[in-house]
Amino acid sequence: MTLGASFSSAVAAWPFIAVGVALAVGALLALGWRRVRPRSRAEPKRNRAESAFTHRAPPEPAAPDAPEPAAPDAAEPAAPGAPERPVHDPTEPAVANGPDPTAREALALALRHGVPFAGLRGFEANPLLFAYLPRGIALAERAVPVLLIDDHLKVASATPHPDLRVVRERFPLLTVDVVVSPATEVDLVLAHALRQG
Amino acid sequence: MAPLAPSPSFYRRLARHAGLPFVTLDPARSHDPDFQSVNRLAAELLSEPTARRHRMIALAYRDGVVTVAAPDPFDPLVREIAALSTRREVRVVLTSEHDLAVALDRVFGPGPE
Repeated sequence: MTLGASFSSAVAAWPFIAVGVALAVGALLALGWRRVRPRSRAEPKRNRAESAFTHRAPPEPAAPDAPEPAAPDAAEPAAPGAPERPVHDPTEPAVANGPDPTAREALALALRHGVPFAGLRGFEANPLLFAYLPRGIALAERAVPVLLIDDHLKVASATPHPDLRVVRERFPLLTVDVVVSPATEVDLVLAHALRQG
Repeated sequence: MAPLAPSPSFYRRLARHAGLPFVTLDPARSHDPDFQSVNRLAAELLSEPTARRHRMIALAYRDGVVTVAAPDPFDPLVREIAALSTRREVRVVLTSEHDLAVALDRVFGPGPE
């Protein structure tokens, strides 16, 4: 009788035991996946203190069941298979690898002085325009002739008020318009122009 | 890649912005309103090495003033050397690099490449 009663109660409890075991196994598997998943060699460890100026790769098209993308600077673990964001290589020019830290400074400078701002990324100066702004002055003032339209010469400079008196004296019938550009971008354009001769 | 040579219109505009006269020296474009022929006697006020080295040519001499054409009239050496060499007052006008080369070759003969 006792044996029969124990057997019948065990049979009655069996569904609850099975559900409990299944839940435990599921939880263990879910936790164990993230802990034991090996990190590949090509996948560098994510730096939580990643700079705000690090290049952001264009977002991949989201999978239908993918969660909402987090804020850009949130240090969340990478989803399996998601591309790693490339980290800034200090040996490369800053402007070639993402937003230039001087860009914000230049923008702030332009706003403070009421001078237009212009980015020069990918821009190549027309060597002929150095007939207006001699290379020596361009280097000294960190300024680049950008555009000549009619009687207006647009000059991009790292500072809002470069000393362009020589240009204004030589070309009294020319109007020189200054725009502020990131210093590193001005330097790159100048370096390229000097290499071109 | 060598930079593109400036066109005459570029020099013409440069001269206008600078408030300087622009002259065409190439006889092939003698119909241009800017054309000015080179006076050989005036041209010889500057020696050939000086003219070629400093990229200029003396065009005319009138009323004690030598007119010198150069593609870079802002080079301080141009005015200074022209004044020292001719010992006269110098007036600088702008011409294109191509026209200067043509004029130098016509006055002094073909130059070294």
